[in-house]
Amino acid sequence: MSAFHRIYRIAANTFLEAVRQRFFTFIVLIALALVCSVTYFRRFDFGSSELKFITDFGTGAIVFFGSILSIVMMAQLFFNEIENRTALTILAKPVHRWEFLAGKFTGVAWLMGVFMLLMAVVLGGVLYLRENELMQKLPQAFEAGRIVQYDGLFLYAFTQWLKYCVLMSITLFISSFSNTNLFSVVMSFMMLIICQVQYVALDSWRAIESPFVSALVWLLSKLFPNFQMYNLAMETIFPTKGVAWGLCGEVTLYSIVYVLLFFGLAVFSFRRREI
Amino acid sequence: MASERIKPWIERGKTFCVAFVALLVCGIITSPLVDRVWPRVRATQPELNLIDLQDALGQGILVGAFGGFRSLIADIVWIAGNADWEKSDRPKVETMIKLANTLDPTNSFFWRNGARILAYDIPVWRLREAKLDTDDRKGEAALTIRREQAERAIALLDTVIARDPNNAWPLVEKAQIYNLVLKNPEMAAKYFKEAAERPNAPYFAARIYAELLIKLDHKREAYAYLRKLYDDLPKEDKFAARDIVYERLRALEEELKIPEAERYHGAPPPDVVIEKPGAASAPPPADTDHSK
Repeated sequence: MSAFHRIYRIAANTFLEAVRQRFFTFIVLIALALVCSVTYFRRFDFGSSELKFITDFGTGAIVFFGSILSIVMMAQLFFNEIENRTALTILAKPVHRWEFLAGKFTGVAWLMGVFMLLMAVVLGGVLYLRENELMQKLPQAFEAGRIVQYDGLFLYAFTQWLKYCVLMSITLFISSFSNTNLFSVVMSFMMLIICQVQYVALDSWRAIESPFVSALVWLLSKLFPNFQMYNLAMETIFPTKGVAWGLCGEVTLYSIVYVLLFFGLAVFSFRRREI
Repeated sequence: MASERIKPWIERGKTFCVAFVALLVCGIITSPLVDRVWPRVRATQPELNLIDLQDALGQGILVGAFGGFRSLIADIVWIAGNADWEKSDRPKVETMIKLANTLDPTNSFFWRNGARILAYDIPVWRLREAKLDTDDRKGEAALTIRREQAERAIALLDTVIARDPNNAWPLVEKAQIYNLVLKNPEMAAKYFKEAAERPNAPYFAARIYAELLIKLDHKREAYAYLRKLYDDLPKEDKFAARDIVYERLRALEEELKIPEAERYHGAPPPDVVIEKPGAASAPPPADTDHSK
C-alpha cells in the first residue's frame, strides 16, 4: 500500500468520524439557519444595498462558523486518536507519523470543503431568489443584467476554504506539541485573532518613529499570515472589473505556502512526541 | 532523572526556535506576494481601525467585526445607540456614532445622521447640561460649544469625503453645517459649489450656492452662475426646478439693472408666468430647501 493510499484511508476515516460528530451537525444547522433567515435580518438594515447586506450577512456566517468548525474539529479529531490510544494502533502499522498527520489534515479539509460548498449553495440560492424578486420589482436597477456574480461566490467560498486550511494547519501544529485539546483550541483561537489583526502591523511598521518598536512590529508582520487577505467578497461577488481570478490565484499560492509550512512544522514537532 | 524532566521542555524549545525561524523566513519570502495582493484587497474593504474600535473591546463586537458580520453589527450598534440618544447620553451616543461608522463606513445613513447628531443635537444637550439661560445661549460659551460640535461633525464628514471624493452628499452636509451652525456663508458657498460639481449632486446645491453668493453680495457672479445653470438643467426633470432658477434670474436682472441687450434671452420654462419687472417672487430661504 502506497503512502497515498494510507493517507487516503486515514483521511476517509477522519472525515466519517467528523461527519458523525454532533458538534459538526449543530454548527452546520446554525449556520444554515442564519443564512436562510437573512431576509428577517434585513429589518436591521439601514441603507446598505440589500443584496450586499445579504452577502455580508451570509459571508459573516461562513467566516464565523467556519473558523470555529475548522479549529475545533481539527483539535478534537487529532486528540481523539491520542486520548483513545488509537493513534498507537495506527502508528504501530507501517504508517509514518507524517502520513498520520496528513491523513488527519486531509479528512478535516474535506469536511470543511463540504461545509463551504453547502454554505455557498444555500447563500447563492438565497441571493438568487431575492435578486429575482428585485429584478421584477425594480427592473430599471438591473438594466445591465444581474448584479451578483454567482461564479464569484463559489470562488469566494474556495478562498475561504483555503483560509480554513491554513487555520487547520496552525491548529495541527499547536496540537502536535500540546497536551490537551482545550489548550490547542484556545491557542488556535488566539492565533486566529493575531492573524486577523496582523494587517495593523503590516500597515503601520513604517510609520513608527522608534527604530526598536518599528523593528518589533516589522517582525510581527512577518511572523504571522495575514487573514485579511481573504476578504475578497466584494472583489469576487460584486466585482466592478470582472471577477478577480488573478487575485484569487495569488491568494491560493500564499495559502499553499503557509499550509506546507505549518504542516512541516507539525511533522517536525510530532516526530518525537510520546504518545 | 532531572534531565528526563527537562527533555520535553528542550524539545518544545527546539520546536519553538525552528517555528520562529521558519515563519520569519516564510514571511520574508512571501513579502513580494503580499506587497502585490494586500494593497488591492485593502482598497476594496472599509477601513477597520482598531483605535476606533477600542470602546467596543470586551463587548464581543471585535469578534463579530472580524468574523464578517460588520454591517449587521453596525446596524445593531446604531439601534442600541438610539436608546442613549433618547436619554441625551452624550458620551455613549458619540461612541455609537464612531463605532457604527468604523464598522460600516460605506453606509450613508450612519455618517449623515451621525454628523447631524454631532452638529445639531449634542450642542442642545450640552447647553442644557451647562444650565445656560436663554440669553446666555447666544453668548460666547454657547458659541464655543456649537463650534466644537460642528468641528467634530466636520471631522467625521472629512473622513467620508477623503474616502469617497466624488460623492456630493457629505459636501452638502458639511456646507449645511457651515451655513446653519457656524454661520459662515463663505465656507458654506465653497462646499455647496464643490457639491454641485459632483456627478450625483442634488439640484438644490447649485441653487443654494447662488443664493449664498447673493447673500455675500456677489450678485454679478450669482447671475452669471444662474445663467449657466439654467442652460445646463434638464428640461424634462421637474426636480431641476428650472422655473425657480428662471424667476431668480429675472429678479437679479431687475436688481442689477442689466441692460435689455445683455439679459438672458433663452426660452422660459413652459409653466412660468412671466411677471412684470420687479414683481418676481422672493427666493426660498437657503437653509430650508432640502428637496432635490
